[in-house]
Amino acid sequence: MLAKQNNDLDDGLFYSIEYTSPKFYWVMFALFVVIGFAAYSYLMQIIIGLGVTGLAQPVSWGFYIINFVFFIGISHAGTLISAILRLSKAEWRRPITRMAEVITAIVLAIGGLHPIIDLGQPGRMWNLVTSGRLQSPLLWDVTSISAYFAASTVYLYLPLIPDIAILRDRGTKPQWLYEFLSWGWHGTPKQHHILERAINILMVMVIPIAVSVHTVISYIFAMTIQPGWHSTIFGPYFVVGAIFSGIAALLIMMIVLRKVYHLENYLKEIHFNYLSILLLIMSLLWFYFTFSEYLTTYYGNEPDEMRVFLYKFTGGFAPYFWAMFACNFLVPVTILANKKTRRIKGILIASISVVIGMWLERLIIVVPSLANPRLEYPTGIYIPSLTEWSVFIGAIAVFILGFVLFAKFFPLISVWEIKEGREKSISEVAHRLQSYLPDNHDELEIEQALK
Amino acid sequence: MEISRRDFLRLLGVTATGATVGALGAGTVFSIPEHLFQRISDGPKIESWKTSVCSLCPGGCGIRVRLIDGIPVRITGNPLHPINRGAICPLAEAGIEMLYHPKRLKNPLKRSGARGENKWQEISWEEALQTVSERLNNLFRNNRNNAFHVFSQNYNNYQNYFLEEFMFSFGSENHHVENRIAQWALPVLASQGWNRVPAYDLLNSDCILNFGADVLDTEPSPVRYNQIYGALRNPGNNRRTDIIHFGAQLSRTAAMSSQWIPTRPGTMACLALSIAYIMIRDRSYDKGFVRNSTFGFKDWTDSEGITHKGFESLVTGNYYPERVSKICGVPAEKIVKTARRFAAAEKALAFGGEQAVNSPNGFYTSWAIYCLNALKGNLDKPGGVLFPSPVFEPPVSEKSPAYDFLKRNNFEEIIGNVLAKKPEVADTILFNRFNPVFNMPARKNWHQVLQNIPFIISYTSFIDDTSRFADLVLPAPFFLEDLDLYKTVPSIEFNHLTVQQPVVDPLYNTRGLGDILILLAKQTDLNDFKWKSYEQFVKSNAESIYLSGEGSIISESTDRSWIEFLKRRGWQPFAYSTFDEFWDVLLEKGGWWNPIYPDGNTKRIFRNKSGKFEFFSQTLYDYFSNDKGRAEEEFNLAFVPHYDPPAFLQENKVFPYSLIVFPQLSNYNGTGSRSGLVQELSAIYSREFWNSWVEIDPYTAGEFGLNDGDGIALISATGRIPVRVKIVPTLMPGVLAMPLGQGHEIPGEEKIGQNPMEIVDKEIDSVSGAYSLISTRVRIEKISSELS
Amino acid sequence: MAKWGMVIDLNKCTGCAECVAACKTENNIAIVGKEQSEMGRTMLWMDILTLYEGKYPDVKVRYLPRPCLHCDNPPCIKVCPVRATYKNEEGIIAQVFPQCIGCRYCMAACPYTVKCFNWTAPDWPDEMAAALNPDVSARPAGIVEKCTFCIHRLQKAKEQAAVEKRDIRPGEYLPACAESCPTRAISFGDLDDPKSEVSGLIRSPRMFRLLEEIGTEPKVYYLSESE
Ligand SMILES: Nc1nc2c(c(=O)[nH]1)N[C@H]1C(S)=C(S)[C@@H](COP(=O)(O)OP(=O)(O)OC[C@H]3O[C@@H](n4cnc5c(=O)[nH]c(N)nc54)[C@H](O)[C@@H]3O)O[C@H]1N2
Ligand SMILES: Nc1nc2c(c(=O)[nH]1)N[C@H]1C(S)=C(S)[C@@H](COP(=O)(O)OP(=O)(O)OC[C@H]3O[C@@H](n4cnc5c(=O)[nH]c(N)nc54)[C@H](O)[C@@H]3O)O[C@H]1N2
Ligand code: SF4
Ligand code: SF4
Ligand code: SF4
Ligand code: SF4
Ligand code: SF4
Ligand SMILES: [Mo]
Repeated sequence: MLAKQNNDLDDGLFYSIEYTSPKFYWVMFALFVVIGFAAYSYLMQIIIGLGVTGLAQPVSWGFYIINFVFFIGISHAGTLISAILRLSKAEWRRPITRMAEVITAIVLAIGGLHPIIDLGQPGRMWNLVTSGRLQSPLLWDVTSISAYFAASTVYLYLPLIPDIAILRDRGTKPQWLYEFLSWGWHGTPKQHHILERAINILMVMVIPIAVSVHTVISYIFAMTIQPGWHSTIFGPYFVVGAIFSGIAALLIMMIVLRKVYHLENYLKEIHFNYLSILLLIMSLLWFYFTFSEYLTTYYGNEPDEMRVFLYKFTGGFAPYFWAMFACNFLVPVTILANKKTRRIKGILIASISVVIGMWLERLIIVVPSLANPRLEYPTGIYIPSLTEWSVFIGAIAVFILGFVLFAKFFPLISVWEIKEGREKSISEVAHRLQSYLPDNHDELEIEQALK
Repeated sequence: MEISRRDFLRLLGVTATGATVGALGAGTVFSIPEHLFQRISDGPKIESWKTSVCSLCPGGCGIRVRLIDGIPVRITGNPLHPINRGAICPLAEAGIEMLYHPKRLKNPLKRSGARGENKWQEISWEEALQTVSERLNNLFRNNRNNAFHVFSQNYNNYQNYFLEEFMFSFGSENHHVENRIAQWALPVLASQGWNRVPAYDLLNSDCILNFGADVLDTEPSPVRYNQIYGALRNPGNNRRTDIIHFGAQLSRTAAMSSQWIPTRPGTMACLALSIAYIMIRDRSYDKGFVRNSTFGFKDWTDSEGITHKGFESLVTGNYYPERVSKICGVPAEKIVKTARRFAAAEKALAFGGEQAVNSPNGFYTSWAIYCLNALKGNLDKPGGVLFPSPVFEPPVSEKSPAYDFLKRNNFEEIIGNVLAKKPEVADTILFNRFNPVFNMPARKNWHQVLQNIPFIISYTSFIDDTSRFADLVLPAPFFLEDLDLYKTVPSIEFNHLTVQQPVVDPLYNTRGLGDILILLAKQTDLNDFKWKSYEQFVKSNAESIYLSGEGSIISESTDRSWIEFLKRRGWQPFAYSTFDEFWDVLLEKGGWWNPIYPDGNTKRIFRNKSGKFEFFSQTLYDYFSNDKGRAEEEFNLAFVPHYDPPAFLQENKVFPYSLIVFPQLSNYNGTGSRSGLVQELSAIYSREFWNSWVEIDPYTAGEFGLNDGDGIALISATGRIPVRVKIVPTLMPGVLAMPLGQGHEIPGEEKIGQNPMEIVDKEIDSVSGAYSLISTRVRIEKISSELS
Repeated sequence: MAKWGMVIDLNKCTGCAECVAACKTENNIAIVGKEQSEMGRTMLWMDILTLYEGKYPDVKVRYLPRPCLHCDNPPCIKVCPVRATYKNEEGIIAQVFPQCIGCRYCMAACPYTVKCFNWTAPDWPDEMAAALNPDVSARPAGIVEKCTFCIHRLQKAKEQAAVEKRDIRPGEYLPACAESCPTRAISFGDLDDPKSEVSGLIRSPRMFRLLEEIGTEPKVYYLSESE
């Protein structure tokens, strides 16, 4: 009765799964065109070689590596944030976690493919297995990204099981899929207990893995002795940047999906407000790291380092550098520090700005160090080619496609957790509050007040 | 048989495993003759080596070619060869690439389109030679022998002698050899009556004044001079040799010197005479030598009782450093200091490069420079100017006008006559590996000239800027396929001879020049031209060396001191029972040399009337005796070294900058432009690969707001070319410098870079008639498009 | 076991670029063509750096030939994920062409920017194809390459020595660049042999190494100009 009623309440969440509008086909078509073109470009790259890119000597890494770092950074939106929120028992997390986890899974797959796209000899990838050298930071990456990918797909899947069971029970097609994926879920207390334990274990595991992922990505650069790369704070700096861009990406996705799937009822101003304050904090943190990183360089004044430094601050890369600074700091701080502008629209602008800014940061880390060799070579220039752009846009299209397909088969908001929230959290929160508060309040009283 | 590149690589066994990806990206096709292809596929891959000589420039380096199953794969230096001692230069590395170049000419060609259109029809050699001999017979019968002209490249090979003999038999005096190294000889001829290029004993000198001879990049033998400069800078040899380099540009040669003194183009005579001024004023010249062995130093009176000013008073009256400083841009103190350093050195020498000659006042400039050696009294002495004994040359060299250094370099005259439509002047021209449309200033004139010539033959291995205008093209073998002899490189202090041994059979239907001439002689009934084959000519010349018993075939055990030791005791280093034995060893080792320097005898080096070093040249006086009507003062000046301010140095508001063109070792005359190797390495200093650039000083660049890589148009009175800018601190402000060798224009081929000759003015030297390459004035305009 | 090293005397070097050319022909280094070259993909295992010192008119130009420096502590091999570049027991930093996956990490890690990448299949201008050296394998697209100290010449010398049942003699193994250099500015030999020419030269007070301060311990030494 109550359950049924609640189910009805959340019926809207199943609407897009059960009814396919013509718009869906148009979107799919458009995405396939974009992805098809990207696939064609990549095929040409395999045939002709990396010559189709804008890379050269000495700038031998470009868009693919930049986007690799960028996408993996975005992936921190998800699992990490969702795990932290879960762990800290933030009640407002309930409608958010699923989306965050989906972002992670999709973006991680895309990001993880980028180093392969970047290989000159993708056909020899197997060499990594047969004769991989664990001393190479690249191998550390392969390892930790695979671990993160495994953990986060499971972490996405587990909380999905009860929802799949609901879909199965509703008779949604394709039945076999839900039948298969629901893994015999019947919502028994025992099952609930196991599921929660599993989620809790993963939750604790996934955080260090996620932190390690972006740390070792930074090590790709930091382990070399190249000016602008060889830095001890690169690990935390990258992690902070990753979470920063992750939150921004999550916010953008939430705003878009809320609009597209009419989730206003679930994603309320308050969710955005909370997350954007987190974004603001990350922005300040980012500034702190950036400041420390460049101040030490400037103060140390080592000639090779300074060449790269000046290239970023006043030289060829200055427009990008200052744009990054504006995007990552000035814009989000101005918008988010002010209550009046910290509205959905403002948050959207700030988030987009951060995502662009963080992409620029990856660009600014990868290219200038390569473009300014220590010896007296002419400085290199790098202009990405059509192929690189199309693979980039293709990757974004794959991301959207992933979301659209996910939304086609699964609810974007964790139905059972919402339900659980409705049923249990008030009493749970009341219980918790009671335990925090100094005076002896009555639990029921609090519960009443909360309602 | 057309074979894909990949097939070939696979046969050579060089394609790496896993190259499948590569296969898709390739797909070009090159042509390799079928018999070679068979050999590559079936051969046992046996390595062998053959010696020969590099003929990509006149440097005369001995080479060893590595062959795999008889197929040449790499050129290396011949370690025994006394010129280059195992080293070569980057241009020679491109030799193999050019041998197999797909644009090589494979058959004789007859023009089928309009002139210059580069459209051809392949014909047989019989038909080709028939056509030529008909024309020659026609001229011969009508007593128009001189209407047959041949233009030859100036390599030190014997083919040019052979051609000379042919021209003698035919009765034409018009064999033209663009031979600027000859002008190293001109001042020596003027002062001493010695008609060869002398040698400069750089290795034993303490102080060297180099007046802009970029010997590391060009004439006379780049590899050798690189070795010499390398050795001079080796502190291990316990000698501190001062090399002072004058020039407008800090060239590679200048960079290897101890000091570079920027000098305004065209003013070096003035500078040299100012150094003479200091030596005379300080009385620090070799007084004994000047008193006993020179003529015209003091004022003198001739047989007609006319008093002539001597060198001393001419110099002291005109060339005081303060005045000279303003002209040539060198601070007066520097002139004084340099002169004193030169005078104080125990062994010192001064020499000027072609660029001293490449000025409208070039002859007097190089003469003025040469006179410093006389003041120093260093002639025929170690560390000074050396005069090696005569080389083995065919007798024709004595009588031929092409080897008369004072015969005016009359290209301009010929051009003038042809343009004036005097067809009797030139009816048929044979360009023997000569490319004036690319290489000569005023190229547009040559276009017109060629349109006015009734019949043009080109003997060449590739269609070039000139042969595209030909009516008949005779395909020449590449030097690796052709037999020849190379004589001593001018300016080298010992005699040597190198065999250009064919290391591979001709790939195509080409014929050596010698054999062509023999057939032509037969068909033209030239009775006194008796040679049976070119090989016979070559061997007979080698035999004369064998018979002389001098010198030795180069070998591991014949360094100079050993040969000298043996000779002193009257022994022969080697004995051969027959000439054939000698010849076989000669081919195996690659050459012969005679390092022994003739013993001192002043009469030997002064071959003129006075038997002395002449500051007033009686040789010139006699030569120009028909000019004697000229005003006395001016006339007198013509026979003494002096500075004649060239017109191009005048203030010029329209064209404010000077343009100099400079050579690069790897692509001097543009011979290497066809090679990808050369294209991807000659710009190693400027990084403008596959392109041209113009060097500009930072100050001038700043005035125009120019950055590296920006485009400008260089505009001279003659033309306009777009080119990229490279800012360097190595130029006199106001002087622009552009490399030679790029910008070939052949219909159907991509133009790579720009040819500075497009805008070089065609000034000539008043005495030698040689073109000046430094007298061009330009202005610049910033441009944004037009550049590839 | 020998430890191979090179000494380049900048006093003697005239910047003639023969070493560059010799290296290209000896090692079948691809000619990339005009278009690729303009994009900055020219392949030079041996390069020449042109350094200007001072201001006009007291300028100096220095030419500095630069092969792979065969660092004894090479940052490039540490990062390779598949052991496609490694230090062999004689100190030569080798490249295993068929093993390389083309990640270009070693390129990014080399402080001297010496490595080249095959951006496209080595599509020589047709004319170049016949000029290949059968001792050195041609490289496909997508892999990194660099100066190998002409290691094929070492193998040849060793084979010859083995046939004659002796050790290899000093000077028997000479890279192409050292062999063709007109001024003999490049010396090559065994650094561990105290009697070798190179061991003598590196004791010179003129000796220096590139970027000594970063601790890569290059085995290519330079002798500075004496003035
Ligand atoms: N590799 C190769 N080498 C060759 C040849 C070849 O085909 N290939 N060809 C050979 C032949 S035929 C010749 S004639 C020689 C030519 O050899 P060079 O005569 O040496 O060459 P140029 O181009 O005449 O010389 C131009 C040089 O003079 C300098 N210069 C110009 N004006 C002045 C001035 O007023 N003062 C001073 N001090 N310097 C000035 C320029 O900067 C430039 O460096 O090269 C020979 N060497
Ligand atoms: N742009 C420019 N112009 C110059 C000069 C310069 O450096 N640059 N230098 C000036 C000087 S000093 C001189 S001497 C003249 C020289 O001018 P040229 O004597 O014309 O010299 P190249 O252009 O080197 O050679 C002419 C042609 O010979 C052909 N050739 C090359 N090798 C061989 C071979 O082995 N056999 C045969 N049969 N043919 C061959 C080539 O196809 C080439 O096009 O140019 C003068 N003009
Ligand atoms: S200098 Fe170079 S091009 Fe000239 S002969 Fe010697 S190796 Fe050949
Ligand atoms: S070959 Fe010798 S002289 Fe020439 S650039 Fe190389 S090291 Fe210097
Ligand atoms: S120079 Fe560069 S490529 Fe060579 S060993 Fe050192 S780090 Fe490696
Ligand atoms: S590019 Fe090749 S050699 Fe270099 S690190 Fe990657 S796999 Fe190793
Ligand atoms: S040692 Fe060999 S591979 Fe290295 S630069 Fe010299 S020639 Fe090239
Ligand atoms: Mo010449």
